[in-house]
Amino acid sequence: MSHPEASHVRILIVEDEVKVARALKEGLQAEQYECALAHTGEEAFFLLNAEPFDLVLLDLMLPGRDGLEILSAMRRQGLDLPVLVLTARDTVEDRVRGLDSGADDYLTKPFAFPELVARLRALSRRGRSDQTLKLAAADLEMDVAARTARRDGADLDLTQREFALLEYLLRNQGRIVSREMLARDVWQETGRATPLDNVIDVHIARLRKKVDQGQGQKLIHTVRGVGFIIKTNTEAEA
Amino acid sequence: MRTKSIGFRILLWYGVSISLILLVYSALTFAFFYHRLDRDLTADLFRDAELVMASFNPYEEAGPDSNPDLRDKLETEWEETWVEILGPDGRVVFRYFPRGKASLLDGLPAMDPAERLEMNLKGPAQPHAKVVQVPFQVEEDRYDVRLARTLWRPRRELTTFLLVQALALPVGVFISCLGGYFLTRRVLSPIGRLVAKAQKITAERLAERLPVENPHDELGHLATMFNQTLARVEASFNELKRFTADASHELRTPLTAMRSVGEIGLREGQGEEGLRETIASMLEEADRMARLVDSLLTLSRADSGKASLVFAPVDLADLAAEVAEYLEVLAEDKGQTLSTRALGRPLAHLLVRADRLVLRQAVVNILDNAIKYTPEGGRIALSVTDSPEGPVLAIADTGPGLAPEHAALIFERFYRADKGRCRDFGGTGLGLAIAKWAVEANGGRIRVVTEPGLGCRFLLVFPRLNGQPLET
Repeated sequence: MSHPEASHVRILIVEDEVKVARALKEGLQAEQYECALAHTGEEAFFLLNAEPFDLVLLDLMLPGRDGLEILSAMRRQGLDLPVLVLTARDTVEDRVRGLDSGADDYLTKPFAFPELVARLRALSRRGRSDQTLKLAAADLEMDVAARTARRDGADLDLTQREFALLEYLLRNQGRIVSREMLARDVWQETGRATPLDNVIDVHIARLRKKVDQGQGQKLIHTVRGVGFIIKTNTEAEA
Repeated sequence: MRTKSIGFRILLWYGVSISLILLVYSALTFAFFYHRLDRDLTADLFRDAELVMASFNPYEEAGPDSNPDLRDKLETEWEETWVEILGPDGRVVFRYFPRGKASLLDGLPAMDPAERLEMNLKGPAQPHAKVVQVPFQVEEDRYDVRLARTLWRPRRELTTFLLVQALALPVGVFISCLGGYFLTRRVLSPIGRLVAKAQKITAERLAERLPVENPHDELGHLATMFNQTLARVEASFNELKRFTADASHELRTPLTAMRSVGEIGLREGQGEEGLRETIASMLEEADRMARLVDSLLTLSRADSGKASLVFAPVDLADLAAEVAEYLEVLAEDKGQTLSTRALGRPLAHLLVRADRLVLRQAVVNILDNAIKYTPEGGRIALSVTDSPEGPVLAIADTGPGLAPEHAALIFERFYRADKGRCRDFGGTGLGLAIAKWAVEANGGRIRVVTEPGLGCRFLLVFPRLNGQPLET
């Protein structure tokens, strides 16, 4: 998978948990990001002053200096690059949200990797949102303005929710979309304790029926344990 | 003083009060005694004046040795008495000053003649003394007898009295305090025993109770109250212990699954497809665990009161319709009918004061639960009605229902009427517990009306919003 907008984006990952840091680095490198690792706040500060970065991925639970301290120090120094904060889901979450700490976005742990990638993409292309009104994958076409979708030339009869779902999948074509992303972006749900997964699965099943039934090439795929993806055969996995 | 014990403080107050009372008592007694002595002295002098009159012979020649009988009597029987008798012409016809004491009082003061008088002599140069004058007649002649006596004797008595008081007062105070001390100790000793006993009560020995010696006195009330508090603490502690045990069990289940799936996946000859399967399965378990942890966090925030709710008027009908629309696909998928028109009546638009998101969570959890447990083809109905108790949101299903013993426990954390079955549906066993908290946090009450074979009917009853008329 190659995403042109990701190349030459340099990310500083500030995370003290070695395993998580390594997984993040490898995963983001696979997404064509350039990554540097800092395991402590001091290290992060040093690197930020030594090299240019486009984005910071900041864990709030750091030994020594608290992540929020680093963030406010960064902002005081006039470093205004986007910061994506990672938090455990406790009161810190509220503080990040409520105190206007200078974070551009936050993600609670544990998170699905596709979600992180989606957030980073959104941050790195801040300012220009995806306004394309015509979306397509293989012989699936969608006109967002006219609210129509066609597969192989035939109109698809989609409910509002299904349309929004398909649009989201198409906009993220070739990338895995997690259930959390769908819950947040399509259903506008915030709480994860809400039993939404079943609802999403049923909607996906229905959408899949309408889009893929009777078609030679299946477009909507389930990636077990992670989420869903729209991809054409040319991108198909082995 | 704040650092001292109650016993010490009681004793201190007691000592101070007793001292004050005794001092006041002494002062009053002294005043009374003084007055009494003064009066007695005056009476004595008047009486003695009569005796002097009786023994006085006016026909004797005035001189230092006249009336020897009287002089002798004065000398031997009376002490420290100055006597003068004035004749009709105002001259002294008889004078007796005590021997050796004459210099103390070298003459009685001038007094208006022919009056019965008494006066006190005082001054730096002379001793304090009392003087009386009594006029008397001998045939046609008028005489005045004057007697003076120093206050020395009553003074001495008063001094003795004061001395006795000064000695007796501290002794009295000391004895009182000693009694107070033992009394205080006796009264406070049950507290000491309570403290000693309470110290032995630890988290591990919460079942212990304090001794109630007399349930009707203050300390008995205290111990009883303490025991009641202890009982509540013990109950919550046990609940917490059970909850922790349940939670670790629930967390261990996905962990165990992850571990065994991973170990099997690591065996050779799995092939890429097999490994993908393994990893996907592990990710699913990780998801399940994340959901469980999120639910636990929700509850722990609720318990610690950290959940901050934002209250605003919420239309129950809108809420019910929204949740129904949201979960409708699940019901459809199972061929169930989900209706929001109970008995053909539309949902009543009733406002309650609530945090919409939190309340919505409760309704979602209950409806989700109903859909899960109602067999295919069943019916689920949401209704919003007004009742005398207040607005009611009800969720009824045609599921298997619950026996009373299960119904009582259904809102308990991790309680599952059908062990093991719930997990197949991806439940955490916390949904209804969260729902219960969510409803109660919004001031409502939740209960379930159920019977085996007759389905469940969850009732969410809310306090009526002020000024909202009861719809008829």
